[in-house]
Amino acid sequence: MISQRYSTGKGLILKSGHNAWIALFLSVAVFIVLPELFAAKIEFDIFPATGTFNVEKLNPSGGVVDLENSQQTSASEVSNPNVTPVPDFISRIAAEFPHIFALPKSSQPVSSVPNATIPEVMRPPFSETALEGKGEKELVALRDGGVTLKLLLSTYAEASMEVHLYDTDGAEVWFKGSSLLSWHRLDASTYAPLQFKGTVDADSMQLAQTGDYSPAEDLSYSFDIKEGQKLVLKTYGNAEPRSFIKVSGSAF
Amino acid sequence: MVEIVISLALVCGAVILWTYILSVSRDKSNTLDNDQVFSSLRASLLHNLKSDMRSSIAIKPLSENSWEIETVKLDDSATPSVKKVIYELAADGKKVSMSVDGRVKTYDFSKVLDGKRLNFKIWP
Repeated sequence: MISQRYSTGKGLILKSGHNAWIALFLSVAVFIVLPELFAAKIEFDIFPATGTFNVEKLNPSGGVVDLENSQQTSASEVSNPNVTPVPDFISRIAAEFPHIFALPKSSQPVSSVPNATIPEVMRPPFSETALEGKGEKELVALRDGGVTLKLLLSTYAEASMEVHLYDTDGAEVWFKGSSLLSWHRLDASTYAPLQFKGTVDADSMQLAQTGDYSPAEDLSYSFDIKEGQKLVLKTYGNAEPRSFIKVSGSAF
Repeated sequence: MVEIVISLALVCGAVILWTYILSVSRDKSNTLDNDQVFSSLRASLLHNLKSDMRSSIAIKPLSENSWEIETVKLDDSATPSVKKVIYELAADGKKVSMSVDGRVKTYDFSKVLDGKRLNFKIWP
């Protein structure tokens, strides 16, 4: 009888011991898995290596930002403010030595373009820049003026050219829902005219032989640009090295 | 005569050794430069990306190599607003571009990858 009780008691201890282990295992598993559920992952490395970073997303998925309660609040005015009067000697110094409080003339900005580099400052009013072959180039207008684009997209396979115009605040200027200029050619011979200011220029391709179209020669487009606006030139795909976008004008 | 030959051999040996050491150290220096550029580009990209992902309210893949992150950003006056940031791995696998409000920032790894490609993915 005693041994039976003893054995039952041992069984209970064993059972509760198992439960404790299972509970511990589950809680550890939950602690490991839970952060993963709310985390996004970044995979970044040089192929074929893989480096993974978990990033915890602090906002609930599909959450809405409470903009109303996030606005800046302004402090209420202090009642009965006790303003310390400006010591008299400062006004006396200001009267006697006004140059201490005045900005020297040399500190006045000479250029409206911030962080202008020496080449930008020294550049003559009319200049020409070119993007040859594939690549990307950015140009910022130093003053209001006219710009002329001359371009050629030479290719035997799929290739594209784009010219984007960005306002001073960084927003792209759209023309009928399109960028300033876009040209997408599928191959060496298909008729694929370019689009300038949202309008297709049918004459940008010419028929060289039957069924073989090539880009028209001396393609040139002009437009006006404002100071601070940015031009981004892009040529990509299988464009031949002799492809170019030449930008000239008084704005650069 | 023997002395001249031995001296010439010693001088030649010294020049060869010097050239070898110079080329090895130049190689090492270039590798170090590339590593440094890669690390700083990577750190800058991951810093921006992690920040956008932490404050995101939605992340969706636009294609195999581009993702749109709807994220909360603060403007100059620290007022929050929701912006759509697009991260895209270029087709050649050597550049990652980040565009927000028409502004594009490109992290160009092409000069430091030595012909290899990047492995860049975002898992929402």
